[in-house]
Order: sequence, then C-alpha cells, then structure tokens
Amino acid sequence: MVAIVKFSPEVGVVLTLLATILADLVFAPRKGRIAHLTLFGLLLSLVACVQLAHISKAMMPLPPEVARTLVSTQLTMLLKGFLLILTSLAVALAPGSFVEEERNSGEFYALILFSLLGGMLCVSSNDLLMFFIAFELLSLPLYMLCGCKRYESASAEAGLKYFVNGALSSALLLYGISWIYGSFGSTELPRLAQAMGASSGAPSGAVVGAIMIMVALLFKVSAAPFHSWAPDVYTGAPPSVSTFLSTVPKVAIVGFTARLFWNYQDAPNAFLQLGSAWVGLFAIVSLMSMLIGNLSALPQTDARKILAYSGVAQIGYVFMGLAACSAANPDPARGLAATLFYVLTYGVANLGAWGALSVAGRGAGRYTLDGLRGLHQRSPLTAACLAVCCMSLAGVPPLAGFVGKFYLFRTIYQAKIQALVVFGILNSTISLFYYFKMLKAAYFSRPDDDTSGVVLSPLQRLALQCCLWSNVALGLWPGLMNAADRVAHQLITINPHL
Amino acid sequence: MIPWLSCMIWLPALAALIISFLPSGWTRLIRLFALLATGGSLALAATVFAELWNTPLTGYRMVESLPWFPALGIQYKLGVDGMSLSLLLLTGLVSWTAIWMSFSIQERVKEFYVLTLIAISGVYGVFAAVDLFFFVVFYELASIPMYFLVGIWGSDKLGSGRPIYRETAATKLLLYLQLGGGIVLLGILALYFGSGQQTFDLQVLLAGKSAIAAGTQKLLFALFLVGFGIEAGLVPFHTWLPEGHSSAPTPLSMLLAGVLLKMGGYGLLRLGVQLLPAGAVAFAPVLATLGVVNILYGGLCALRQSDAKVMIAYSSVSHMGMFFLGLGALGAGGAAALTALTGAFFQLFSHGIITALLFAVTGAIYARTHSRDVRAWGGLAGQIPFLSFFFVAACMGSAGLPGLTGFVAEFMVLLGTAGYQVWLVVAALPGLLLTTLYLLRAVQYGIFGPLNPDHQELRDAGWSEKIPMLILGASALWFGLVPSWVTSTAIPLLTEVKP
Repeated sequence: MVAIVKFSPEVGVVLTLLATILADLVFAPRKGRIAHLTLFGLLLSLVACVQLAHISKAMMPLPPEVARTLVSTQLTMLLKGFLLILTSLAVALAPGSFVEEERNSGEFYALILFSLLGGMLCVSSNDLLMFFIAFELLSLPLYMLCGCKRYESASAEAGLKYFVNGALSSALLLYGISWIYGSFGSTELPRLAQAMGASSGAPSGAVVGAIMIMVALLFKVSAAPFHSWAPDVYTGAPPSVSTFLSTVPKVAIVGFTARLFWNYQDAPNAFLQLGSAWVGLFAIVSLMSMLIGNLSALPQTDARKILAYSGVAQIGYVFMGLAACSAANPDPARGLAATLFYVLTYGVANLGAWGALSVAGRGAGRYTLDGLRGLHQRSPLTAACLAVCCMSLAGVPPLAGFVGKFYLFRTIYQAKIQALVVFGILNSTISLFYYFKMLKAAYFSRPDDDTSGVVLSPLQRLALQCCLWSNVALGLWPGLMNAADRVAHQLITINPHL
Repeated sequence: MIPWLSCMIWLPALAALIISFLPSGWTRLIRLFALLATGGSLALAATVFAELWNTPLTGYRMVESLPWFPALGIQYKLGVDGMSLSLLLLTGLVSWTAIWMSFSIQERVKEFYVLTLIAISGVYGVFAAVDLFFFVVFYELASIPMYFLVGIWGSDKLGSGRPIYRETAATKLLLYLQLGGGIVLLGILALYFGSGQQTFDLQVLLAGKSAIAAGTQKLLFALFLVGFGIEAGLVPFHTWLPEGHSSAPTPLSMLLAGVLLKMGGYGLLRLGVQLLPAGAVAFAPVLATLGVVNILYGGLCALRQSDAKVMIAYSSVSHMGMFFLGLGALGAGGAAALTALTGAFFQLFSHGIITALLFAVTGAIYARTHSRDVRAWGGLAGQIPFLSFFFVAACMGSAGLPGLTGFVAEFMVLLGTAGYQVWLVVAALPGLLLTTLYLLRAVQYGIFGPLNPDHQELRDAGWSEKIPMLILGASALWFGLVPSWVTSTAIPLLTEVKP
C-alpha cells in the first residue's frame, strides 16, 4: 500500500495511458480530446507528486521488496514533478502538429506517456537491472514516435537511426551491467557500494562495466562524442516529438546520473571507484560537448539542427556541474544544486524553444531559418517565446539560463576547475551567434508573402506563455533557486543516502 | 522610506511594460509614456545630484538592499557615491534627449520604445548597482536590446569605402559586448573567491580590498582591463564600435556613445582602479601606452572617413584614449595622478554629453539630406542654421574648445600625464591636431562651402529636436564653465584611489 502511495505519480501515468488507449478505441477520435485527457491525467499525477514531496523517507518507509529496486525521495520527487511538467507542456503544444498525430492520437499520447513512465522509473531506480528496464521503457516508445510519420522518408530514417544507435547503447548498458555483476555478484546499488567499500582497489571488471554504463548514458543524453545521431533524429522526427525527445529523456538520465554519483559520494570509495578520474571524465565530456555542439551549430541553416546541436552543447554545461561535485569542492552540495537548477532551466528553455519552433513551422512544414522569417509579425507570442527561450539557453540575463550558468560557473570555480569556467564563458559567447541567428530571422526580416499566420489553440497559447514566463521567473525570482539549493543541501548534508 | 534609486532605475522598464500592452497604433501615447518615464528618471537623477553634489562623498549614500540569494552572498543592493552620482545625471540627460530624438522613428514604434526603455533601465542600474551580480545583470540588460535596436532600426553604410551592413554590425556588437561581459563575469567570480570574502557586495569588497594579494590584483586587473576595454573601445578590441555606433539609429547612437561606452569606463575605474590599486599601478604603463595608441589610431581612422557617423564613432575611440591615458597616469602617484584621474573621470562625462549632441545633430541632418556623407551635404549653414550651429558647436566641443567640457577634461589628463611621462604627452598631442583636422573638415565640407543643389528645400529643426539639442548644448557649456560640479564629488574618492 505504501508503495502505491509513494509511487502514485507513476500509477497516475499508467492509468492515464490506459485511458488514452481505451478512449481512442471506444470513442470516435475527436480532435484534441485525447490530448486534453492526457493533460488531465498528467496534472493529477503532478498534484500527487507535489503532495508527496513533503513526505520524507523516514516517515513512510517502503517495503523491502520494493526498496530493493526503487527509491522514493525528495530528490526523485522533484525530478519526477519536473518531468511531469515538461511532458504536460509538450503534450499541450502537440495537437494539430501533423496528420498521424490526429488520426492515431491515442497511440501518440500513449507512447509519450510510456516513455515518461520509463523516465520516472529511471530517476527512482535503485538497481542496475531495474534501471535497464526503465531505460528501455523510456527508449522504445521514442523509436516509434520518431518514425511515426511513416510516409515521410526523413521520419522513417530518424526512427531507424535512433533505433540502431539506441539499441547499441542499450546493449552496451546491459553488457556493462553484466561485467559489474560478474565482479561483485549483485546489481543493487547500495550493495555495490558496500562491496566496493570493502574491497581495496577497483576490480578491473567493474571499471570496464562502469565505463560501458557511462557510455550508454552519454549516448542517451547525446553528449559528445556520442552525439552523432542527435541532429539527424531531431530533424527527421516530427518537431512535436523532438520537443519531448530533446528534454524529458535527458532530464531523466541526468537525474539518474546525479543520483548514481551522489549516493556513493560519501562512501569510502566513490562510485565504482573512479574517484578523481570520474571528475576528469565529466570534465572532458563537458568540454567536448560544448565545443563540438557549439561549433557544429554555427553554420547550420535548419533551425531544428541548430537546436539539436545546441542541445549537445547544453549537456556539456550539465556535465560541468557534475564534474563540480568532486572531493576538491569544499561545498559539493552546491555542485549538485547547481546541476539540478541548470537541468531545470535547460528543460524549460529548450522545451519552449522547440515548442515555439514546432508551432511556428507547422503550417508550411518549414523549419529552416528562412521559414522563421517575420515570425514576429505572424505570431508575436510564438516569436516572443522563441526569443526568450533562446536567450535563456544562451545565458542572457536576467533569464533563467543566465542564473543557471552563473550558479554553475561559481560552483566550478569553487571546485578549482577554473579552466572549465573560461571555456564555458567562451562557449556561451560562441553560442550567442547561432541563437541570435534564429532571432534575427524571426525579428529582423518581414515575412515572405506566401507564409500564413500561426494558428494557436488557447491551450497552446497558455503553454507558450508558461514557457516564456517561467524563464523570466526562474531568472528574476530567487525563490525557486533557493528551493533547489535547499533540497540539494538537505539531501546531501543531512542524509547522503536518501 | 521611498527607494528613490529603484524608482529611477525601474521607471523606464515599467513604462516599457505598459507600452508592451498598448496597441501598436497608439504612437502618440507610446511616445508620451516614454518621455514621461525617462523624464521622471532624469528628474530623480537631478534631484539626487542636487542633493549630494557639494558634499564630499567617500562611501555609498542612499543605500537600498534586499536579500536575493543569501546562500551565495547575492543581494539586490543599490547606492550612489561620488563617481556614480554624475554618471547617473549623464544617463538621465542622454536618455531623455535620446527619447526626444526618437520622434524620427516611424516604423515598429512600439517595439522600439520597449527595447530602448529596457536598455535605459539597464544603464541606470549599472551606475547604481552596489552588488556585482546585479551589476552584470544590469549591464546585459543594457547591451542585449542594442542588438535588436541596431539590427532592425539601423541604417547601412553604403557609398564610398567599405560598406557596413546593420545586421553584421549588430551581430558584431552583440558578440563583442557579450565576450566583454563574459570576461568581466570571470573577473568577478575570481574576485569573489580571490578576495576571500565570498560576497558580491562592493561595499564589503572595498572595505577589505587591502587583503587582496598583489599577484591576484594584477590578474584581476588584466581581466577587467580586457573585459571593460572591449566595452570602452580600447584598441585593439574596438572594431565593433565604429560599425555598431554608425549603424545604429540616431537615438541609439546617442545612447551607445553617450552612456554605454561609459559603462566600460566606469567599470574599469570602479572595479579596476578603485578596488585593485596595486593591479592598476602595475598596469599603468600599459594603460597609458594603449591610451596614446587609441588617441592616434582613432584619430587617423576618423581622418579617413567621409561618412559622418563613422567619423564620429572613430572620434569616440580617440576620445576614450584620453580616458585610458588619464588612468595610466595613475603611475605618477601624488597630485599629478589625482589631476589625471579627475580628468579621465571628467572625460567620461564630457564625452557622453558632446558625442550625444554630435550624433543627435548628425542624425537630424541625415534625416533631411538622406546622406551620411559629409561631402554630399554642402552649404547647410544657409539652409538649416539651427542644426548647423549645433553641429559646429558640438564639433568645437569635441575638438576641445575652451569653455566647453571637452577642453577641461583633456587639459587635466594631459597636465597629469606630464607629471608622469612627458613623452606620453608629446606622443598624444598630434592626436589633438588630428581631431581638429577631421572635425573642421567635416564642418568645412558639410556646413559651409557651396550649397548642394539637392538641398534647396530643407526644413530646420523642429521643436522635438531643438529641445534635446538645447539641453545637451547647455550642459556642455555649463559643465565646461563649472567642471567642479562634476569633479568635486569624485575627487575624495579618487584621492583615496591614487597610490
């Protein structure tokens, strides 16, 4: 019973996805109805999440058979609530985006919900095998969603490409887990930490396994050098799918990575005994992602490709934050707080930018920079949302992205990796060029004569407004930042094993 | 207690918010709001100035603070001292007159005012911020809208010579200013940890500045020199400046040259010289040399231009050189350093007023003749005497005619520098000659000489142009006659600064 209460957000998502499938079967599919149903279910789950966020682990302990595989803490609740918010925004922006979405809307939303469920379980999983299952649940629906515009070769290509690459990463993950199981005889994270604490020096098998797991995770978040699938998939997939694809899975995986790392930070041996090498690995990934993402985005003329590469670059900043959670940092909790806050701002800003782009290009199906011309005249709200979200991603004050970057840079400076701060600042400057290239198209030029206005439903207007103002609010209003800081601190300094 | 400084800063932003909800067709009301808001801010700035100008100010006055993110030592904190006092007044004067000059903007009026007013709020904020986090925020708030303002409402330089397109100029301006801002941010983070205080509060940092090690000071100063140098048009980081300033629409050129450039100078003076005296002394020879290079290089480039706005923009590079030279003369120590520093500080104020006037008049003439090339103007004195008078007056001010502010500033800088290294003065003097040369040439070709037959039917300035020109002209004259109004408040601070 306790387990059901503590996982009521997940239960809510499962019920919603069943409801969407049934509604599609039973009732004649009516435009937008199923999207509303999905949203309703997501909001109920969100309410449950908010309610549960106040209940700590000690107050309602999970039964041991559940606790073996899953954990439920304030950190996971924060991340889950955030995943629910992002998915709700993506769902609100999706209706009317392409024909298949309307014809098979039950499937479309059910697949999104399946993927979300996988993401939520990823965040909660306490066992590597559980994580693998959740990881697959997160990925499989996405392969289908990417290819769901069956009659368009680009979409089919995207689906196949993502599937092949994703299957490789899943295989690596599973293989890595088997190496770790071979070394320690367990896949439970707490027992792994214990076993490693007891043994002196990492068994080489565990190191191989850890590296493979890490590679699989990097694949999924499209961090360089494992990013090459991302631009093609994001471009080929329907933009309303890319909106979801570029935010929710990344946030879920980063959430798990942070947990994986943090659970064992205070153990005698850090996670999988990578120790300082771990920090170096994160720093290198961060640096490569920033550089490759930013430099590749510069010459692009397709707005989807620009955003895809920008996503690669942004993941670099997230890993910068993870690198700061090191022993060299006198206040490592701040490292986690900064990472969490940055993922939060990235999620909102990236989703808003993708959402605005998918809405803006939907009529003519043009998502190039030329297609964005004169967006300001065609739909001021969409243009404003795109502008604010892009500026937030670029780190322009006083928006969310700036505060997030500032917090990150501060904590990395404190962790004595000053070189990374310098590169981070230089990269932010580089990124301005392509983010503002989109704004230049949207604001500087007049629309071509043949482009029509952008039609928005009231719900979509609301979703765009939410993206726009949350970027402003996260930047100007310190309450949310204080909250993220508080949660991270509580989690780490008071009870590191949460 | 009413937070007057916050009112002064946020009044334009509030007007921007109201305007953004008005229908775009209501241009008269939009203009009225913008004028009232910036006028209100100017009135507040003038009141604060009148209140404090004859009291020796060493610390911050009228401090307002609110906790923002206490865990990191960030708070919303404002205050004025001797340095920010007159720069706030300058911001008020330039922004209000720029809004008057914006009457010439005819398309996408609403968006123009929203962005301009946000930028004006940012500039006020930079000069009043005591917390360095908010210093950065305000700085970006002032510089980001410039991208859109230059790119959308700007003009291209075609005609003879290398063309300058406004979109390229806007992108260049954005990237340079952001890189400068990023380097400053890096410096501020280094200061945050290097000072050992873990605070962004300038008041606390200034109180504990003696604890910062000399090596750290040098490193920090180098960062601030490059960061603020980009903003203040320091050669070789100046290339965005002529393009950005000349492509911008008239009111924006006034703001860019009048106050945005000063943010860089102010930052260097505040964070570089006041906070890190040992670093400043170590870099004094570099500053002075770069100052001379700025003066000569800017002057030579200006001499080459036939486009009036590009010429003025290069003259800004040259004049900011005088500021850097004055800072460099800090190395002299004693009274000479104080004279030079005071001159450098006054140069910020003086250049702001005079260049704003110069851009305003040039913009007004451009609106009539549709040409920025001075050779195409020809004999305007007989046609539009009011504008011609102010063009000549502004050129004279820029060339350093005694009685106007420019003379006082340059004289003090050179006097102080003579006490440091005489060869620097000798090297800088040809720069003054160059200034006179290109300005007089512009006057000769553009204002006097034979009348261009195309310009038979020009209308002289309307009242919306006369008001800003009269205000700026009167300020240049008044503060030229009584410079102590500006310098007296700053001198106690600068005395404290000099080694």
